Amino acid sequence: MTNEDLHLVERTLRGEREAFGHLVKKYEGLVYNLTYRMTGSREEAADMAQEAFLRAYRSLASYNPEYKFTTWICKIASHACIDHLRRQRTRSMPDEDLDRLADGGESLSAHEEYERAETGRVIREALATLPEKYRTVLVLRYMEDMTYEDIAETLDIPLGTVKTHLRRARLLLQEKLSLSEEGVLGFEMC
Amino acid sequence: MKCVDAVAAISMMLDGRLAGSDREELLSHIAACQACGARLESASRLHAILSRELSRRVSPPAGLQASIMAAVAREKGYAPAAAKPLLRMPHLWLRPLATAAAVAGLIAFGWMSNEHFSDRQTAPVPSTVARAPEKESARPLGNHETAVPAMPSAGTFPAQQKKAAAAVKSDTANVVSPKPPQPTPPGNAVKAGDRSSAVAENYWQNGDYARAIAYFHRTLDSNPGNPASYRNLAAAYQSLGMMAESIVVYNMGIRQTGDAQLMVELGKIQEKEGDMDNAVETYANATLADPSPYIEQGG
Repeated sequence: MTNEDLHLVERTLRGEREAFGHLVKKYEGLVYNLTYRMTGSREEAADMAQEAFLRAYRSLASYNPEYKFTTWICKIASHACIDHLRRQRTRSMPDEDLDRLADGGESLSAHEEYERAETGRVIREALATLPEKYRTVLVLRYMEDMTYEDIAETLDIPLGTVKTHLRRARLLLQEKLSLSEEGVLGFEMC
Repeated sequence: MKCVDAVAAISMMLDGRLAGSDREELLSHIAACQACGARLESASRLHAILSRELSRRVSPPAGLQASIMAAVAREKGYAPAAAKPLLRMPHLWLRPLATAAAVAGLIAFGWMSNEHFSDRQTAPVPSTVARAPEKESARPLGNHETAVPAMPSAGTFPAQQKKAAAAVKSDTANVVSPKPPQPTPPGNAVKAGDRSSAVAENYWQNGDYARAIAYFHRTLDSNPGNPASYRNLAAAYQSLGMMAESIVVYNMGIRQTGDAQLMVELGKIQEKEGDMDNAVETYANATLADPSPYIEQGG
C-alpha cells in the first residue's frame, strides 16, 4: 500500500470523510471498470461501484495495510458483483455502445471502429455467459494484469483454484466463440 | 505429456507461468500433436483479444464520485476517538501529500459523458451530514421564477424521510447528528421534454438525492444554457450539505448564463458560509446583471 493511501485511510478513520473522497477519486476508475466487466451493464456497474466503496468505508477499520489497497478494494468490488449477479435472475444485456465511450485514444477508420465495436460486443456477450467465479478470475487477470497470487489473495481462493478457473474460463469462452454466428473472431473449437 | 495436461500447460504458458522443462515438454508435445497445436493457436488468439479488450479503460459515469460520497455522507461517521493506529509497514518514507482539489474535481467530472444510474430506487435514508442546512435550503426553480427559494414547511418533507429519520434517531441515540435536511422538491425542474429531468425530480421527491444529482447532471448536459439546470443541481448538493460543490455549480452557471438569480443564490450561500466579502461582490454583480431580484431581497 502506498504511504498516501495509508494516510488517507487513517485520516478517514479519524473522522475526515473528505479523505475517503480522495481514495474514491483515485480508485473510482479501477473499481468501475471491474464492476463493468463483471456486470456488462453501465447502470449496474455504477451501482456496484457505489456499493463497493460503501462496503469499503464501513469496513475500513478492519483493513490490514500490509496488503495493497487495490487488492482490498478489488476484493470488495468482486464480492459485491458476485453477490449481485447471483441474486439476478436475468442478466442485463451488455451495453452495445460502450466502445464509443472507451478511452482508446486511437484514431481509427470507420471500418476499424466497427470491427472493434463488434469484437467488444461479442466478447462482452460471451463473458456474460460465464459463471461468476470464472468471470471474476478472468477479469482480474486481464483487466488488471494480476498475477495468480494477487488473484488468489483478492478472492481468498487457493492458487490452484485460480489456475483451474482461468483454464476453464478460457475453454468456455473458446467454445462459446466458436459457436457464435457472427464468426467475428474466427474461432474453431478444437 | 497427455493432451489433457497440454491444455492446462497452454493456459499457464499464456500467463507466462510455464518455464524450464515443463515448457519444453509442452512444445515437444505440440510439435507432435496437431490437435494441441490448433488448441495453442486458438488459445493464443483468444488471449490476445482478451488482453486488448479487457485492458481498455472505460470512463465512469458523470457524477459517480459525487454519488458515492453522497452515500458515504449518509453513513455513520468515524469518530476520532474510535480511530486506532493501523499496522505500519517498516521502511516507509514520507512524501508530501498533494493539496486536495475535490470541489473542482467533483463538479468538473459531472460535465463529461451522459452515464446514468439504474432506475431502481433504494429506500430513502436521511442525510446526517453535519453541514446540512437547518433553515433555508435552495429550492430548484423553474425557468422564469424569480422568487426567493422558500423555506420548506414540514408538509413538504417526504413521509418516508420522516420514518427513516425516526428510525435513525432511535438507532443512533448516542450519536450527535444534525436534523435531516428538509429540501423543497423541485416542483418546476427543467421541463424540456428531458427524461433525465423527470427522473431526477422523481428521485428528489423520494429523497434519493444521490441519484437525483446524477440525473440533474445529465439534465445540465442537455441544457447547459438554462439557469434552472444549475439551480437544481446546486440545490441538490446543498441538501446533502455539500456547500463547496454547490458553490462551484452556481459559479459555473453564472459563467455560462450570467443569470442574476443564480448570483443571488450564490451570494446567500457565501453569506451563510461566512464569506462576506465574496457575498457582497456577488450581490453587487447580481445588481448589475438585473436589479429586480436584488431589490426583492431587500439588499
